[in-house]
Amino acid sequence: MSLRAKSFIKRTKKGNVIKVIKEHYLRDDIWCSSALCESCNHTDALLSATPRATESFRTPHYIVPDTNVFMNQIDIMEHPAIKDVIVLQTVREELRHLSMPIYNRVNAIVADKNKRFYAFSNEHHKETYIERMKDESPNDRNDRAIRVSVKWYANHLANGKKKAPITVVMLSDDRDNREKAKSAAIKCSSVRDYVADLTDSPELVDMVVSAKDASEAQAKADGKIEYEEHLSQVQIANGVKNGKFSQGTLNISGHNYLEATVMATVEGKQQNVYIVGRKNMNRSIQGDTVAIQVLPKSEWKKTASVAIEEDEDEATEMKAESENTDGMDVDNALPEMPTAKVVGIIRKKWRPYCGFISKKSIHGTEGSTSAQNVIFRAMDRRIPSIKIRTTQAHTLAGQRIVVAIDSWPTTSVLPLGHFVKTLGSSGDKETETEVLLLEHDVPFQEFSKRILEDLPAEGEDWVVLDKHVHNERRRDFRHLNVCSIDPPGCTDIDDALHVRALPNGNFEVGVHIADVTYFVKPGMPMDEEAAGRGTTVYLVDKRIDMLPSLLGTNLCSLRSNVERLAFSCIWEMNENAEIVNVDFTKSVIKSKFSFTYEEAQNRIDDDRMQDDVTKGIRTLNSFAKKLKQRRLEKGALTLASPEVRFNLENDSQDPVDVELKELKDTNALVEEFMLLANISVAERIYSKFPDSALLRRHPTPPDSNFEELRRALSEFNISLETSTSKELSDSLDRAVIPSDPYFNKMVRIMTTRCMLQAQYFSSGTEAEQDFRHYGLACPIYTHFTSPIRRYSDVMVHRLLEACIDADLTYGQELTDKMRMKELCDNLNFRNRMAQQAARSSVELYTNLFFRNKVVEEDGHVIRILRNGFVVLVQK
Amino acid sequence: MPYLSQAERDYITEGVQSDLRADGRGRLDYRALVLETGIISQANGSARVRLGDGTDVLVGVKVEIDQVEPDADNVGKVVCNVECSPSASQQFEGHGADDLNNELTQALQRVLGGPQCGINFEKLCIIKGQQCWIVYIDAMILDYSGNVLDTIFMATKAALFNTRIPKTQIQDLGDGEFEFEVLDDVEDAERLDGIENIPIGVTLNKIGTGHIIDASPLEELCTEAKLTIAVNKDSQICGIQKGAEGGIEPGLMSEMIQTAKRIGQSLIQQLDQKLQDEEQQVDEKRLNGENIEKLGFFAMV
Repeated sequence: MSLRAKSFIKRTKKGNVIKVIKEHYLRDDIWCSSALCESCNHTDALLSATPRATESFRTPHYIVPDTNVFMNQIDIMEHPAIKDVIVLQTVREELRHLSMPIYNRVNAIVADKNKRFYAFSNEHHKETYIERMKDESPNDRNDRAIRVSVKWYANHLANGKKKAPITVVMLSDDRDNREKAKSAAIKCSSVRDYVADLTDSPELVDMVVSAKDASEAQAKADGKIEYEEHLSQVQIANGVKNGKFSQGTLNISGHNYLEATVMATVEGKQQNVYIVGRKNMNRSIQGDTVAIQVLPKSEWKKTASVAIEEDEDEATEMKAESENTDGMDVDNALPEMPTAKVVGIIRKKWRPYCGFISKKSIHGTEGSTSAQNVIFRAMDRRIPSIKIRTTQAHTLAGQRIVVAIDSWPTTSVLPLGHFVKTLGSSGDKETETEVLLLEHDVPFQEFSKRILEDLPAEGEDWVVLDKHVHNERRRDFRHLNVCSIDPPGCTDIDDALHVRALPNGNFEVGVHIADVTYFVKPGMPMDEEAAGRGTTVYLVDKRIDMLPSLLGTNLCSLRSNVERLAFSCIWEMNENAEIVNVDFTKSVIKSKFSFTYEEAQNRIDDDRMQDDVTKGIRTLNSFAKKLKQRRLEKGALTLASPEVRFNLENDSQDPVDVELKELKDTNALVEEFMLLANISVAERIYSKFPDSALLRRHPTPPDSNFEELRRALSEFNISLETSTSKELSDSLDRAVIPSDPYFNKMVRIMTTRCMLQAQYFSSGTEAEQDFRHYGLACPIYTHFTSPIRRYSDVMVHRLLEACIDADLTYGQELTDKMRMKELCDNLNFRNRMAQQAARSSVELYTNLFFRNKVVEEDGHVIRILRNGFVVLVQK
Repeated sequence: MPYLSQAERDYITEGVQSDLRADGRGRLDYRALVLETGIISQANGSARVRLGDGTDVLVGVKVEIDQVEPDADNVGKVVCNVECSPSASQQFEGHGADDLNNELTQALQRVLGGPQCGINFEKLCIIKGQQCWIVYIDAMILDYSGNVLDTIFMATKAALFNTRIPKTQIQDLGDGEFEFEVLDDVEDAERLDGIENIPIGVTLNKIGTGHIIDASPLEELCTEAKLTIAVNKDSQICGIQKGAEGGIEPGLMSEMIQTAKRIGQSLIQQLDQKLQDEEQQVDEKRLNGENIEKLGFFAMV
């Protein structure tokens, strides 16, 4: 082993500079990992003995790509046709500096044993490590390091006692590097030339990122500049600091992709700033963090319709697009809105987009495979069309495909991108479901083997043992009449209830929640995966689980007549449903019945049923009503959102009927007790963890959110008071038109849309008065009752356990408010995505249901756009 | 202070008189010395000088960024500090070295702190009115065997020769505001401007009627008066400091200055030559991508 040192200069936060020296030990025991090699002592060779040979390189060979190949052509490297690749450490380290997302993707490929990507630590290898030469730039040094490693591999493989000839080929799009390689007798190729030889995967050619500089230079020479240059990062940072620019996230309107808003501080006030037109958006894309400069007041947006016409003129050349210019609100009463333009992009939010190729943009005869430029339209309407070059235009028509953006030069109206993969034909249920999962960034891959290893070894045979009852301070509730009430077909039963009379005339009411944290311990891969997923996603035809189904639908699920571990919240209540005492405990229960809402309702209604369980449900029902009454008096809102249910045909899973979900008393029964449990738990964990309790708040919506609805209602002489939830609730109760029984429901649906999103937060990051839950009208709230399908509840379980068990040792994950905040941010994001995915899924099935079908129903127009309107259909 | 017997004192004084010193040198003979630069990897520049079999000095140069002084907003600074290691001599234990530390620090600072040292202080300013580089020179006396100040000067010159200041890039933020970025590549770092003009010190010790250079500890004890003269490569005097209690007649003084100029110039020439040779060797190795190994404390006379 020999020691080397490398040094670099670093600037500290305080502004000083330090020279950092890293010691570097070189080794002679890093193996080549080729299955053919006999001189290295590796046991599990990753690189196969029979790699691919191509037309140009007839010897079977491994591929060694340089850094830029990964940077620009990562989609190609991820393609299944590319195997037996050596990823050099030099390349990986450069990637880590250049782009974290790409670095992570490369790591993911390396981790996938089937791809046979071998990470070779050339920087630690005695024979491939090189010192940087004097006057050599770091880039040149790294290129040389790559060449030296390729050369080493070539010699190493040639010298080994080989069974078959084998070699290595370097991939590089840098001509200079290739020249140098050739002069050192290293086999090399550009990516385009290499994949052109892979005739079994013709789509690879399309995936090659176009050499952008050529077309860019051409367009620049033509003097065709469409956009202003972005300012430099430093200018932006300084501008934001001295208040010349504001920073915010670009949010493009779902109805008009040429109009966007950015939440930013303008004139000392946090408000929505409009950005109108492609020029002003200046190549920023939905979700980008942008720097904006507010335009002079004379250019502020007055009415939406004026703004869009202006832009249409500019965009005449992009015919395919202008017809897509969706309507705008015809709403002239709006005051001037602060309007701005984008001067720079601080963080790009580019990702692969699902969508389709615009048929109109395809030229040439059917079956032609000559390369042509086509326009790709993303499913997400807020994403601009993307220009891609493809040889398979005709094959791809009518398919759902994934496309990535490569660049958006100032000379191009549209961003330039490349084809990544085909998902399937459009309109196909499977394909469309995959599209919507991808579009909402829902992790839907199977649980990995490593995660499944965290499950109890007994598998389905796991049972509650005596030790659970005696050694873990669990209370034994197995004798109680516990039962669960859920929607039909529910397999992940989170909660169960019981009630019994106490000798003193009061009642004991218990809510029992599945004890997920018994199985999911902090730090387990399963826990990390669950924290990443955040929530179970419910689609119309399937469920993307947060936890492996063995836990979710079996070991944790509080099914009837099996003993299960639970986390219980036990209240002592008087006959007015007022809480006398509350206690939390881990427990063991044995549920007696799993009812559906309907079954439970039938039992309540059926006077002949006089057994203990039914009586219990009746007691709970009367308590729930009292609780609800009290809650409503305090100002809790009864809102409505149209929830539909599809009746699916059993085999094909095609929707055969659609209906709105029906609510029964028993729905409210369960809901009431869950709310109560959540509130009780929230108070408890906040008292113990004032800085790091995971709570849920629902901010008071700003008055401006109701503006539109208020104006609409004023047509009916109905006023809307919104200053407190109590007033809103009262005015909603008054919003009745006797002739239209559906009217009130509709107003409630529309009020729901004025609300802000409820959010998870860490109690240390917000002021206590901001903890309020507006919709429920309670000062503190959290989620405790569904740990199987929400990670927030898992966390709350851990917090609560730490509250009740003084001996429990717990780590930073419960006390560090910043970590808790990061977790909350992720959960909020995942939740939002899950909701949107669920909604999109419903939309998808609605479309499938109405495909080739004409149905007549009554509806209400709820919104008028310039060239369309939105209708709410009741059924 | 250790005392010297009269007999010893006479022996040394007589010797100087007859141009023969206890270790066999003539009056103006220097002891052999070993010098190596770049041995502290964390520092921006460093050098170690071992003089004869005793005096051992390690100098490290570190550069830091700081705000400019309000009354001199376009220049950087050099800050010197000398410290004697307690292990170098029994006298340095406890607070024994405090006075010597101060004396040496002052002597070095007086010469290198101002324009006479030849360094271009304006080049050390990064943004006028805002930030500048401060060059911290830290000398450590590891072992003591006489003539320590001259050794420090020599090691300092070598360390400054070895010093590279990180390169900065100034960015115009508009509105007359500037910000700078430090390039992280050590290769981009630049040498100080005016390095060739940095003086070294030549200390002449007056013993009896003669004077000697490069005194050993015993000779230092016999010294009646001493004169340290800072000279640069062009024989310009950049500083004079008188030490010890005795006096020097004007005639002798000017003779001593002439001697110092002559010797100083030849020392600088030899030193520069060696420094360049060393650098060239290092560069050659780097050109071939070879590893550079330093001798460090294995280097002996």
